[in-house]
Amino acid sequence: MIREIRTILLVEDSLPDAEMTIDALREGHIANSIVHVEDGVEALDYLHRKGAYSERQEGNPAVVLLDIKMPRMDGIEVLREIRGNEATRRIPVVILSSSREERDLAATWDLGVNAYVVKPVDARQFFDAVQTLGQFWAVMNEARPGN
Amino acid sequence: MKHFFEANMRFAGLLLCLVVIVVAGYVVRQKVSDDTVDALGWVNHTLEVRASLHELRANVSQMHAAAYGARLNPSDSAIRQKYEESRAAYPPLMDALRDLTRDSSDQQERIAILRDRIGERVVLLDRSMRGDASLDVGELTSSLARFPVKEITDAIDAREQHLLDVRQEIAANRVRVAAWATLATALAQIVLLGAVIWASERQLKRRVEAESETRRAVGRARLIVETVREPIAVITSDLEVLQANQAFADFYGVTRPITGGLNVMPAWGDPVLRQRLKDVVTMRREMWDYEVEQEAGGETRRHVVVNARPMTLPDSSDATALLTVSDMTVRKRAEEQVLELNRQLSGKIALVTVVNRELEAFSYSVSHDLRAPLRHIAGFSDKLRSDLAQQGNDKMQHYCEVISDSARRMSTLIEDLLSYSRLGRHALRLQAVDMQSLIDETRSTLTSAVEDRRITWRVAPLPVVIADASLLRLVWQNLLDNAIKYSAGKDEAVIEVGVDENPAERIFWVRDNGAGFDMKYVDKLFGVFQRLHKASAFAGTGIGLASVRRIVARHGGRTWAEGATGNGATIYFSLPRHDPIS
Repeated sequence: MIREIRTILLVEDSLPDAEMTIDALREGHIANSIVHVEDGVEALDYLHRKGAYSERQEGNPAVVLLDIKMPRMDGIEVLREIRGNEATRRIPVVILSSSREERDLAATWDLGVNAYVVKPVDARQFFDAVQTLGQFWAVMNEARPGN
Repeated sequence: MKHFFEANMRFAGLLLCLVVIVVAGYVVRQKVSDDTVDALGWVNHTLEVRASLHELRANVSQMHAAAYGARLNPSDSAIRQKYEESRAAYPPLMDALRDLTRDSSDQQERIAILRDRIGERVVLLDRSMRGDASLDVGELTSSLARFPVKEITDAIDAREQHLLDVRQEIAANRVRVAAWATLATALAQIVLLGAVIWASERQLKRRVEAESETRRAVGRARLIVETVREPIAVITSDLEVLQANQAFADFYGVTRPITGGLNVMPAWGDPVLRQRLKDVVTMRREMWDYEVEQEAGGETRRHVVVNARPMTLPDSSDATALLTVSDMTVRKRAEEQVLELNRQLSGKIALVTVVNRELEAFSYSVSHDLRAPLRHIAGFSDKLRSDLAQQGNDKMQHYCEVISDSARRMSTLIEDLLSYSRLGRHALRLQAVDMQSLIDETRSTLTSAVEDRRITWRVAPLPVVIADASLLRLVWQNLLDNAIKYSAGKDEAVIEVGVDENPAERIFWVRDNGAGFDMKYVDKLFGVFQRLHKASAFAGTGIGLASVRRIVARHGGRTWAEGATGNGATIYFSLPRHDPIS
């Protein structure tokens, strides 16, 4: 059985963060294609194949790496939309946040997030964390049926 | 009704006593007097009988003397005359005697014999007087001797004498009885009178007592009305003041009696209030807590509450009302002050809420936005360093390390600051916390990281307190961590933990024999990011004791410290015994 290599959707408004994340994933030899969008609206456009992504191939990403604080639509709203929609509600979502604010933790866990990871300031730790996440969600984890 | 009945009963009793005194006295005296008169009558009667008997004997003797005298001097007419007179007098005497002794049958018998014998003698004496020759003196004397009179009269006399004695005895008895009866009656009367006097005296005393009690009660009532601080007045339907207490006069600055009543007092000018007061009197309608501002005695305006109730005076049929005035000025002012303070306070609370919200937004923003650039600095300087390493540029590598370390340190500072700001935000979750087990737990966590150190622990038995367990855990963590950290320079660290209890609070303390501090800087010890040691000497951001102070303050306690440079430090914190204010 040939495994389909799915996309990793990275939702991150900070370009340096995005660059570091993508670098880390590449260094970790993760073969999945990575789509980077810069805010929540774009993320939903991608998931629902709307706007700039109306022409993209069908299929949900293997995992959504979601920042919380973003312009226009923040990560919590994106998560709510994803979990509220039949087509997207089974997608694994991992929060990649700068902070461990309790209200963010509570809100995302209540909405059914799959993991909440605070981005370490230390460069080495950051790379390790992102690589581990990529390995786990994009490579090792078996998708839920219907995703 | 009962009172009326009692009064009637008393009156009837009094009347009965009087009747008994008068009538019984009269009856007893009447009876005694009748008996005495009766007895004396009988004595008199006896004396009369004897007198009559003696008269008869004298008469008979005179008759005999005259008859013998006539024999010696037959011609003497005076003697004859005398005989005839006494001869004529004897039958009525005899009859009188008989009549007098009708009450005694044996005397009657004797008198009948006496009558016969005297009758026989008279026959003989008549013959002698007529000069009957056959009857000489001797013959006469012997004939007369056949009819003895003396014995029979003596017998009658003796009998009467006896009767007299008996009757005198009876009379004397009667008199004695009368005297005793009179005395007894008098005594009884005195007793009764005494009783009546005592009863009426008691009655009078009671009445006087009741009256004086009433007077006292009235006096007291008046005193109360006069002394009470509330102005009180009795008003008529024309708003005339019938009576007012001193407080009323003082409050409105008038003198009593108040002429013209409320009509002329400017304080009572409110037409609505005046109409309502009139209604109270005329329609018998109560007025409750009418609030009004009045121009009282001084120039100040007073906020008063007026109450009025219809009242009926006992001595007058005119409708009146009792009016009371309560001065609420002070309370009103206090209420206004409270309202004003509340207004100010809610303004401040709103301000604080806004500030808090802003702070929260600020810290949220800080935690997200401030750390991202740090991460980028650290991340890219790290990448730069690995690139430089390939070129073998050691100096550049060192610069990159400094940049990374600084970014890390700043990240730690931000982390501490955020956790410190979080301490004040959440509500306290109060529960029973066993300080002993809390400190044991903290101790084992902390010492596992410094197993190479020699630390002597002296932990006194600690009580159970009501507090937020997770916050208190932070307190112990900070205090014990500090103690371990600052005693690192000693060969053997000694860390003591204890508690001093007093009725108001429990004072916990942690003492170490470490680096200590200069008491000159004790004020800085609990400040945020305040450090008394060089970063190179002891690691840390200076947030620990600030957090301790914040947590203890939220529990209503205090924090302070004692120490000396090189001689260790003692950190104290207190927890109040009552429930902490959250």
